[in-house]
Amino acid sequence: MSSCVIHGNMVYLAGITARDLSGGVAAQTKEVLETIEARLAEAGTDMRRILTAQVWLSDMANVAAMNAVWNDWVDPEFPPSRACVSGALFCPEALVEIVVTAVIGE
Amino acid sequence: MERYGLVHGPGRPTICLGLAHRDWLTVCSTAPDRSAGIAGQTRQILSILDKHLAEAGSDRSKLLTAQIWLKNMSDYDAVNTVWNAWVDADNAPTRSCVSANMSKPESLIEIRITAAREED
Repeated sequence: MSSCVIHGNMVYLAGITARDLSGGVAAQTKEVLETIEARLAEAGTDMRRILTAQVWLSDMANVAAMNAVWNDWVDPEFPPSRACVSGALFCPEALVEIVVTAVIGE
Repeated sequence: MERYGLVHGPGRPTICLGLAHRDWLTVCSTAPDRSAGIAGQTRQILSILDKHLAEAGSDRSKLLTAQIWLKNMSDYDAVNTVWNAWVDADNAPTRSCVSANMSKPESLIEIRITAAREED
């Protein structure tokens, strides 16, 4: 699979989990968002141009801790539309996975 | 890019419910009144969808896709009854429905739609 696919002005990122799964949900969310930012930069865009975010949590008990990191990261003037649900992730140590779509340019 | 239904504040995620870009838009929401049963929560969400679709210059006949998350798959028939009464049968979107837990334990359903609109 690809970590990023670009079609026209649309950017589709793969679901991203933290590489370091030893941390708690805050640390994992921070790493995931940093990776998203880096991938978007490579694609020539940024988090203010995200259309949708899909947050998967392994346990909804972690939603407040995830939201705290999310709110620190997002630009409050340009937030994406986001869904957050819980389900089993690819391995038990992964606490959060985020999928985003974004646009490049106008 | 236009955003609708900005959510922000203590204990809440900074997000928007709806976002339109060119000829495309999306809206995603749970029900604000979580004391309602599944039919009531579904109706609340569909009315939020109608509101933001209209704000973005679209309507329910222009839906492309719908993703429904249900806390309890036993609510499937009840959701479909409300859904079928709402959707434009001649222009129904593709749809997927799976079960998941939402952010609030009292949320029984969450829906995301994408839709087309006339470009500004």
